[in-house]
Amino acid sequence: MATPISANLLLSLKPAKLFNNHVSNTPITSIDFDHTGQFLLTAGVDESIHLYDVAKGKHVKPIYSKKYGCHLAKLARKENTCVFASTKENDTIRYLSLHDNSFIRYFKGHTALVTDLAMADLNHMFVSAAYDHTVRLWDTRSANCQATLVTDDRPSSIALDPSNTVVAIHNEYSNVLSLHAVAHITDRPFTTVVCDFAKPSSVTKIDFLNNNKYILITTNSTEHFLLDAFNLSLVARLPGQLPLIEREYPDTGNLTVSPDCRFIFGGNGDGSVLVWDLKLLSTQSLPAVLYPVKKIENETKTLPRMLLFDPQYCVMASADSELCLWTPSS
Amino acid sequence: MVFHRNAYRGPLREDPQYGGLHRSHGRYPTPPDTIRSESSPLLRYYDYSSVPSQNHRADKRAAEVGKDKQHRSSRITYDPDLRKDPSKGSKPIYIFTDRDRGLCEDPRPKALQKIPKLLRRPHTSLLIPKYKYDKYSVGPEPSSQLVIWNFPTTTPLVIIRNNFAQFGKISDLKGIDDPLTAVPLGLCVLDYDGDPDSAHQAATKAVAAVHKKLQIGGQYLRCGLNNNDQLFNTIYNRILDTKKQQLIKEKEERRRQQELQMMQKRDEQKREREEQRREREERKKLNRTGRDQLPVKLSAHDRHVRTLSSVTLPFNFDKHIANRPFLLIPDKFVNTRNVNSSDIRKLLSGHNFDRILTHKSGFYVVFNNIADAEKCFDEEDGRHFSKYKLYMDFVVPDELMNQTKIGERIGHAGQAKAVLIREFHDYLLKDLREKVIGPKLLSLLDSNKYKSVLEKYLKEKEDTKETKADSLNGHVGVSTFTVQHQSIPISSLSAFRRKPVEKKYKRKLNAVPMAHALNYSDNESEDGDQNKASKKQKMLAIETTSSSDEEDIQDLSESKVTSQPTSPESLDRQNEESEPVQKKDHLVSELYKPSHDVGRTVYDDDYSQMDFDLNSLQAIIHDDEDFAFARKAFEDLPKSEEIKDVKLWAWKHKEYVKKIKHLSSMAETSAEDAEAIEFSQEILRNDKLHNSTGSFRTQGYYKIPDKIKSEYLLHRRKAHKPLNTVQNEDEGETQAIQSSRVNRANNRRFAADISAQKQMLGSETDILDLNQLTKRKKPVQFARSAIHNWGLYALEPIAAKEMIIEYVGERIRQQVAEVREKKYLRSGIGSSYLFRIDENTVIDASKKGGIARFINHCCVPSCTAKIIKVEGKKRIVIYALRDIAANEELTYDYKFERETNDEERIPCLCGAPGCKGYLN
Repeated sequence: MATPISANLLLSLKPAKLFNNHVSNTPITSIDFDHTGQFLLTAGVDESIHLYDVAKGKHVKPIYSKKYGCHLAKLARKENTCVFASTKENDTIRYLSLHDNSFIRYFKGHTALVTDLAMADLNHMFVSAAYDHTVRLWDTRSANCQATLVTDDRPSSIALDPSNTVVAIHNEYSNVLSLHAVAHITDRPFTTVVCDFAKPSSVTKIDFLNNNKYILITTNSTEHFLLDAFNLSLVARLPGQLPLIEREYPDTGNLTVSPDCRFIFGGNGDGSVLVWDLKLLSTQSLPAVLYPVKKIENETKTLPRMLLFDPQYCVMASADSELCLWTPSS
Repeated sequence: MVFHRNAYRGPLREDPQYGGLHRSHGRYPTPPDTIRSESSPLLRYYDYSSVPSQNHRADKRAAEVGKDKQHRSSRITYDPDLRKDPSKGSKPIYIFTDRDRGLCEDPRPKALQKIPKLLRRPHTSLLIPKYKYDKYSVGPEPSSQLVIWNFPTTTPLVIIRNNFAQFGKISDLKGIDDPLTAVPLGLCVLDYDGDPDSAHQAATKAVAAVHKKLQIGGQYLRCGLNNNDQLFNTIYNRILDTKKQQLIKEKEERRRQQELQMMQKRDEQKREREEQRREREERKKLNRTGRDQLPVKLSAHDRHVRTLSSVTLPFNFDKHIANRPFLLIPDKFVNTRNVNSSDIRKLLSGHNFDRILTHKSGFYVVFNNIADAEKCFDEEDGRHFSKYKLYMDFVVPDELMNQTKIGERIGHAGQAKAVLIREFHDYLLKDLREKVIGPKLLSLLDSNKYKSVLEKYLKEKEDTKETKADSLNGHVGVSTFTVQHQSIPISSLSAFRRKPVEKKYKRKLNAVPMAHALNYSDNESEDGDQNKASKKQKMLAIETTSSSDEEDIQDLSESKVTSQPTSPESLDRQNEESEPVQKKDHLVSELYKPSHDVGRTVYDDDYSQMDFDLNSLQAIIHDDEDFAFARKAFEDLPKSEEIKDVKLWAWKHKEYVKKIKHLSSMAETSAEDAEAIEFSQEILRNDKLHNSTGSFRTQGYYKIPDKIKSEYLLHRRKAHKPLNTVQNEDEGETQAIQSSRVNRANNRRFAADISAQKQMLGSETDILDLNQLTKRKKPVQFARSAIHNWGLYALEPIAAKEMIIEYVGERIRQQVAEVREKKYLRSGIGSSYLFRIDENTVIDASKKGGIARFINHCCVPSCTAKIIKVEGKKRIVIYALRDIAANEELTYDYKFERETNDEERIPCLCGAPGCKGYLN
């Protein structure tokens, strides 16, 4: 039964479940929901992937990848399958069936650490970026790389827009964000912007908002940015965050957007979650500076290093070395 | 929290680009205060040591910066995995696109038009998951506890339970009591059972349905979910507060009332105190003049002497009285209205008074002279006069008080004198007690004087007795001998009488006169004389005893208990006897008389062979004197309740003794009947068998208990004797005992022969089936037993550990045994011959069985029952525990289970020294 989204509902989120299935005090490096929002996948440096049932609030199963390590585990479009990047042995991307814990396919091609993966939700495509200066386009049905884009710099973050036709690539050093058409990924980007507002190599995640209007740039600093999705102009700065303690392993960004594209939730350094309201954009001249409108306290004493909102359920996941599911308090 | 060395790099880093802290707000408007992050960062600790280092670790990523991987942009044109084209082969075909990188347009506007519904679109509604509470859940368990209040304190909890049970299963319902008084507060806590979520649901449902909706005792019940006792505490405190306030109110009310009471009391006290004060003042006034509370004792008459100052005179009367003494006859004694002053004048006409004044308070008889007044007062006070009594007060002017006769006494000197006299009196008494009476008494009780006092006393006594005896002798004519006899102290007398005559002499030698024992100085000086005297005494004793012997014989032959000297015969005889006695008296009287300690009996009774029964008692009482002593001796004994008619009892007793004597004499003559006589004697002697009617024939039928039977029945009486365990050392018998072993060997050989023959015959015949155990059987026989009906007796001596007999009977199952036991009990077979082998098997020897069943139980048995296996079958065999003599009864311990019900316990009659009293 779907409940209409309201500010009250979203702002009443509070931790409901706390899972520490990963080896305690080891970092979780990625979290991901599938497109139905029913499942959640976490990958940790303890070389294990854990599958959770979000609807029931239960841990489903662990998958161990002791040989290759795991990072950027993403649930693929096909049910009960996931794609993840290796962190040991080689840099191959692996396609794993969660059902019987067997590899379906290896996506070989990258020769350096894979830095980001972006799954398409409308087709079988996914895009990967790696330190070998390439962005590769893959089809989960094929082990062959569909296209390879060599960039000038090391691509650190990539994102697919909701229509799965545009891929945004952010380069770490040059701090350039460029938009490519997926169909012509090897062609030159149609829009490029130098993100001089952000510190170089601080961007951890880029997100297309569901309303296709904005691109959210998450950094590892205390300030985040909202860009126009089309002309890549700076729309808003999102300051007000308390820095999080640094850790040795990367994460998948601590900002997430609510499904109605109104609120941006961000993990705060003191464990709480800050909420920025994008409605306030209309009242300010661009580029606006949005301050958090609410701070949601976290009683679990876990750090919301990574935040991700479920695409279908009113559930937000936060993870650091534990996974925490936030649900609205009745 | 412990930090890993690498864990903390400092959240607030200097940033060169911005030249300040990341959190610098200077460039932007200050954020709202509510959101400002003022809390400290949450410090986390990461454990990297437990996981292997991986490529995406920060340091390794940094290391890859330098590497410049050479790649070429490419695009696949043929992917055999997606669409296989046999003409293009199995390898993918790529084209390199480095050279001609075209510029494409933004595909999104078109795409958004084309794709009708994106998966990722702004949602207007979301699914809200319902999580069940489990160990992963954050926060406390959802409460399943209800706090219920606002119901009458008298409501039973059952009612509440019933009302709330419809919403879910209740696990606990607890009424809360006042912590001080333990009175229910009208508050209870209810827990729903089940898993946290369903219980929580039940609780919420209950709250929704009941809260302010359900009425109990005219009050709307209130309830609420109890989260962490928050609600409970608030309600509890609220109730307690209201209670406390009520209490305080009550207390205040009480205090107010108490204060009120106190005020009243205080008022009363004040009043009382005032009264007391008034009284005291009055008394003081009195004390100043009158001396009511003086230590001097005054008669009721004298107490009415008062000073003038203590009397309030009526108006103008002092003028008439003019400080003269007067007598006041108060109105309450003599009514002034009914009695005229002339009457009083007439009444007191003999006295020299000056005038009589009348006032409603009384008559005032005024005297000129105090002596006259006093005389009148003394004579006329309390005098009857028609229906009145002429009580009067003698009022004296203060200065004339000394002149009255009591004036001196009630004066200060008089009082002091009285006190002193009282004290002197006390001291005098004390001195008398301590200095006169005490020493006198002590000197009287002095033990040194005892001898002389005693001597004096005895002499006095003797004198009186002599005079008495003289008067007696006048009648009877008996010499002084009897007098001497009588004066012997009773204690010494009895001591002598118990001894045989021969012993008496020795005793006499050592006997020391009482006076000597008490007075040592006398003893020493007269030591020589004493010896002489004792020698003479000895001589005398021989002579006297000889005479008394004669007397005894005569006495016995007459067999008269009393020696009444009234009959002429006895009188004559005594006269005859008196002659020699008198002679003796003449002979020895001078020596004999001074010492009174010599005990001599008139009648010489032989107590050593005396039976303490009526006959012998009568035999030793010879005369009045004996009777008197006997009476004295038995005085202390309580009166017998049983003996109602003394004469009847005495007759019965004598008859019984006669009978016994007769029987014993019979026994001596005929030896055959000895047993029968013994039996009858036993019955006669046994008190338990004596009956109220005096004869068994008149008694009618009654059952004699086994216990009593065993005391006199011959075969039963054996049980009382120790069982015969004497081992016969006879040569032949020991041989018999030893031979049993040889016998067994022979038997075994015989059995082996038989089996060998059996094999030779090759056929199964019952004839040759033999019970091995019968061969080892000992010769035994059953006979009447002292223990119980029948018993088994050994016919010859049996050595210890020998097998005696097998317990033979039907082998039945447990269930059958139970049925049979009941059947036997119903049909009256009281004796149980069931023998249990194991849980399932019982040997029943009741109907079919060997004589081993007759073996009785004994707590100290001679045999034991053992279960042995013979050819695979369990059998019961009786073994000798010790050496058993011939004709001894065989017994073994039945080992019944202990019965707790006392009524069902079977008494044991085995008579063994270690008998436990019961079989079970």
